[in-house]
Amino acid sequence: MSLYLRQIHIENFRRFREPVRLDNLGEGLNVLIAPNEAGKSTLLEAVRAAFFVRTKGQSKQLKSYVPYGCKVGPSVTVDFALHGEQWRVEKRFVQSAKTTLSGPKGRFEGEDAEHLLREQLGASVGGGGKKAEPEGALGLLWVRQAEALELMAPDELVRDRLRMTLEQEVGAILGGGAFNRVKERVEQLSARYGTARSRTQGLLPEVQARNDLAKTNYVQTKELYDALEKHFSQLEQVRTRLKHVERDLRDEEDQLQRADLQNALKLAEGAAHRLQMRRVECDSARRAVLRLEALQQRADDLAQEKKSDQEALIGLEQERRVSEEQVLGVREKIAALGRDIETQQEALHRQREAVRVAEQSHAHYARTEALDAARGRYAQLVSCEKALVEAEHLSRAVISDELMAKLDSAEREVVEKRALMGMDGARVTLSGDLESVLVNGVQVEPGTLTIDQPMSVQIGRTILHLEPSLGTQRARYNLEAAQSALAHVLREVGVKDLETARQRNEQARHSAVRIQDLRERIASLCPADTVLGLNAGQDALKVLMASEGADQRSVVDVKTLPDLQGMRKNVEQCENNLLKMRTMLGALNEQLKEMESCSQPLLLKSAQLTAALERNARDLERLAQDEDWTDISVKIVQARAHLSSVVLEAQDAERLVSVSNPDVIRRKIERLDQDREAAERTRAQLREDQSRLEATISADGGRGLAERLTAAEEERTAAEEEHLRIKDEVDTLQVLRDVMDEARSEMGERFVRPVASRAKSYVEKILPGSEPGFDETLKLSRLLRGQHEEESEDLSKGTQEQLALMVRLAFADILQQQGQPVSLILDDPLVYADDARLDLMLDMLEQASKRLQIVILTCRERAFRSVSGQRLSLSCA
Amino acid sequence: MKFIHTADWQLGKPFGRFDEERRAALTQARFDVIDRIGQHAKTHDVRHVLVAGDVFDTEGPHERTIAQAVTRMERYPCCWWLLPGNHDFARNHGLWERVRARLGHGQVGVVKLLTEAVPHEMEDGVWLLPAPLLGRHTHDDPTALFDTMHTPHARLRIGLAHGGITQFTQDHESTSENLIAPNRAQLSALDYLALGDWHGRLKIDARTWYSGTPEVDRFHPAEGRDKPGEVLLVTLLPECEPVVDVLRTGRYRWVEQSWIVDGLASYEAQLERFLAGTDVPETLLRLKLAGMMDLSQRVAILSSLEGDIAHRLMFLDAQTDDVLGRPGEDDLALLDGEGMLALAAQKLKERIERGGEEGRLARKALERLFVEYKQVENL
Repeated sequence: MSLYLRQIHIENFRRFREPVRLDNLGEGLNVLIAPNEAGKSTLLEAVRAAFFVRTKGQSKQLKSYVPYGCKVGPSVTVDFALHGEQWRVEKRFVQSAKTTLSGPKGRFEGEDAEHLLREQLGASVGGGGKKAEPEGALGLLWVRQAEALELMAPDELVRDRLRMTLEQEVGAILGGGAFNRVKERVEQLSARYGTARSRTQGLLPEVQARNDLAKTNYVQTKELYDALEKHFSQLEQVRTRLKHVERDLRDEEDQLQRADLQNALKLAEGAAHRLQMRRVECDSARRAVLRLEALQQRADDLAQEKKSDQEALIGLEQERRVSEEQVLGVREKIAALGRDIETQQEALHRQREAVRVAEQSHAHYARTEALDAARGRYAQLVSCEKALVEAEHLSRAVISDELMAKLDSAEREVVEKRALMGMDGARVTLSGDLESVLVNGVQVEPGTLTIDQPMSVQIGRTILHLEPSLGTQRARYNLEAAQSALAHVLREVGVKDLETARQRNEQARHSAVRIQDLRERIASLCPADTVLGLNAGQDALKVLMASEGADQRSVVDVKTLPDLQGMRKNVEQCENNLLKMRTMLGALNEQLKEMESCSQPLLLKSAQLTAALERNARDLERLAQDEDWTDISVKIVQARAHLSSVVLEAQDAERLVSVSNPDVIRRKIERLDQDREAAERTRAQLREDQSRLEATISADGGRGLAERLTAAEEERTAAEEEHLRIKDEVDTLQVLRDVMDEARSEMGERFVRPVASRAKSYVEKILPGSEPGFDETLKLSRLLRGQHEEESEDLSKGTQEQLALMVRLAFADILQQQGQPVSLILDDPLVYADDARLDLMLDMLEQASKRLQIVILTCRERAFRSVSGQRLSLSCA
Repeated sequence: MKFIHTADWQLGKPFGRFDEERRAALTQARFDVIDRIGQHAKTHDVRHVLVAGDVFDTEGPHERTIAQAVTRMERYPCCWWLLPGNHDFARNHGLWERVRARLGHGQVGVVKLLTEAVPHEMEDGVWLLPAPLLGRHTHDDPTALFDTMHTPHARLRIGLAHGGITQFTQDHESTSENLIAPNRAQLSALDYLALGDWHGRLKIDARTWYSGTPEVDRFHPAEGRDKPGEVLLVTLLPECEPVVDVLRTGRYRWVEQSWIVDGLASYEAQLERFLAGTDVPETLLRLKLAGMMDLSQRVAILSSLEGDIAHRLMFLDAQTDDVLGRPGEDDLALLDGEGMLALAAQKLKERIERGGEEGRLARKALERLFVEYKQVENL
């Protein structure tokens, strides 16, 4: 027995106003059976006071010890044996309070006594003062009846017993009082600081909120600030760009370049126009050369033809020399007539020369009049158009080749028939005095008469009637028929004679060439003139002339000009004369052929040759009439030279155009203009941007964003630091809480296991096959019955109470084994136990009382009657 | 020729890490220093005040900041020459145009804004050559332009610039930007070069000075940097070395100190010495404490700092993480017999010995346990 109470003496303690004594307490089981209100619980309270309660002070607990209405000092004296040594503790409370402890080491008083007592009992040694001190193992084992809870429900009472005794008092043994108070403070602190989990209460959520707010504020301010800074940098960029654009726009180089290009464009356009002119000139010169060369060729051909014809004719003449004498006269006539013709031709030539000169002066007049280029061209255009109309008229008068062939053959028929008629006629040669001779009533010259028709010759009073031969008459008839056919064809064609027809055709051909020439000329006369705004084409020129007036000609005296018209009339007259002479010559030739009747084929051939020569001559004449014929070889040379120079000029013009293409220049100018326009647009846009940015900056600048940003940044840092600090505190508190929980759990664990195994042996006695389960606070939390587990609170009240008692026993066993002094006092135990359980429990207590002192205070005499052990009774001292 | 050389007013500095009350006081002190400079000008009959940059703390201060500055300057009969620094650099439509818009309402004072690098004739033959900063960061020497400035009939040439001197690379607030040739005064034939950027007063040579800030705005650990702000009164005569006098303008003293303490006694001794040598209510102290002591001593020191000294000073920033509270034998003995508490203390001690973040938290937790236990015991 480590500890047993031997004797208890109480005075002035609650209901015990008079001194009472409880003695004869044995080492084993002691039972005090007393009725209710006998003071069993007061007795237990007094014992606890003797051991656990300091005597000094005015606490409620102390005051409760004083009997109601008395002013005395309650006193308790307990004699006890501890580890085989005798001790006595004497305490007087409130009034004249004192503590005395007597033992083997002597007698101690006051605080020393308290200290020594606690030391001996294994209770913790407190610092004294107001707080309730830990009561140690005895606090657990001296089980009070919960008088203060009498009014509560019995189950409450039981549960309270379990909890109070097992939790608090076990905790007390383990230093749990201070621990719990510290833990409580730490929990309060934690609540104040808040936890990482708590979102609403405590400092941590507050600083968290502050931190979040600071961050948000910083981010928002930073956004505003960044936007402003962006505007600043945009403004700077816009300014720089604007400066560049304005400098570019001010730059004179572009304008100079543009002026240069404008000039170049003018030059290039001029060159293009010139090139067009040169090409027209070129074509015109080429045609002129071709025409001249054709003319020359035709002249050469005619000359060749003439030469061969003449040679043939000479041959004929030689053959006909035998009849030369006969035809001498005729020849002489022919010769004379030829001279006349020559003379006449020379005159004609001179007149034509004069006409040409006159035409030149007219042309000159026209050129001078057309000094004003447009008007001049217009005049030319008008004249050209007129000429064109004429030429077209002439061109339309062309006679078809078929009709011409018809004409040619008809004429040849007439010539043949005429030659045949003269061949067969009889001839009468008249000579001598012919004054009195009249032929057909007409005087005649001496010579030969051919009788080709009936004629009367009167010589004096003699009249000779001469009748032509039948052959001659037939020939005559044939001739007349041929002539009639010719006349018919001429009428059909609408010309006077074959010559006229040939002329007309020649003119028509000439006109065709001239029409083309004129049209090209008209085209070239109407070039575009950008200066006047005149488009190409004659209509444009006409419109211009109509508006400007085409009649304001340079005044040149027309009277001073030669009378071209008159001269041309003369030429015509002259040509008519010449024609007549030729006709006469033809007649003479025919006469000659008549005379050369001895050789008709020769004559025919001669006539043909002559006709060919005549045609040749006429062609030559016409050729000679061509204005270009004069000095044609010189003209050809000149025309060729002109052509080559014009070609060179055209090439030059082409080169010029190729190097300075107006389109390219125009595009360059356009590009320059576009560049400038683009720059101006950019400038306008930049100026707008600049004003906008300046306005924005002026508006935002006043908000002090940089200052606000710095403040927000510092606030953010401060909030962050505060947050970290609080977080650190929270973490610290968390660590502390964890460690404290850990310590409690570990400390509990030190007891739980042995208590559980001990308790098991007790529990099996009343609940076979069951095993009690404890949590870390040594609370009996569950009961395992086979496979079933029951929460302790679900157990019956009786079982709970019994278990609590068994756990205490187990606990006491363990403490005793550790050398701690233990004793068990049970105030009114096993209230809810049935008879069987009660027996089992009493057996258990009897067994236990062999190891430790057990004191049972009960009012239930019958239930405890059979219990062995020392019987106690309260006796008055 | 006399003028006041000052710089780095940093008006509108937010002091965001201080509480409302102190923040307002510190902000107000920066405005008040303008008046003290004006008073000095009046007292010493000085007609020119040269401010070498960072008049404002940011390029975008609050409108009130600008208005206060201008209104206060224009109260004094002198000419204030303000140079844009790296904090308040000049740019189009920026801060200085806002300042300009507020000028001209005062009766006597004139404020001149040196936003362009062109010389000004302050007085007959006295030329001021400014080197304003046109961006937050300028890599070229801004004073190189002095050589291109034409100052006809100059008796005196005074340079005004903001930035670091190339020879200082460490222990200096300025970054490597805005570097100024150290012999600029000699290079550009200046009689005096007034510099700003460094917040402490510094003489580079006889003709080149940093005035420092007139009202200190931060802690600085360097020797001699814990005095209240100053301005320089400069007297110039042709062909003579400048005479430079120091005038106090600052109200608050910012002190940064590191103390090694091994217990409450050594802490108290140092504290007493410090408090005796300073104007306590106008002192801001950043105290770095280091040392190893029992938990109870550490708790006592902390409670002295937090419960007493912090209230007596204008501001206290006590950095006590390096004061290691070592749970002493006495500390632990106190917990003996407390069962679970002693076990908890033992566990924390083990964690402390393991070190690391866990150890740090454990140290704090143990300290807390100890403090709370004491509180419980004292109830």
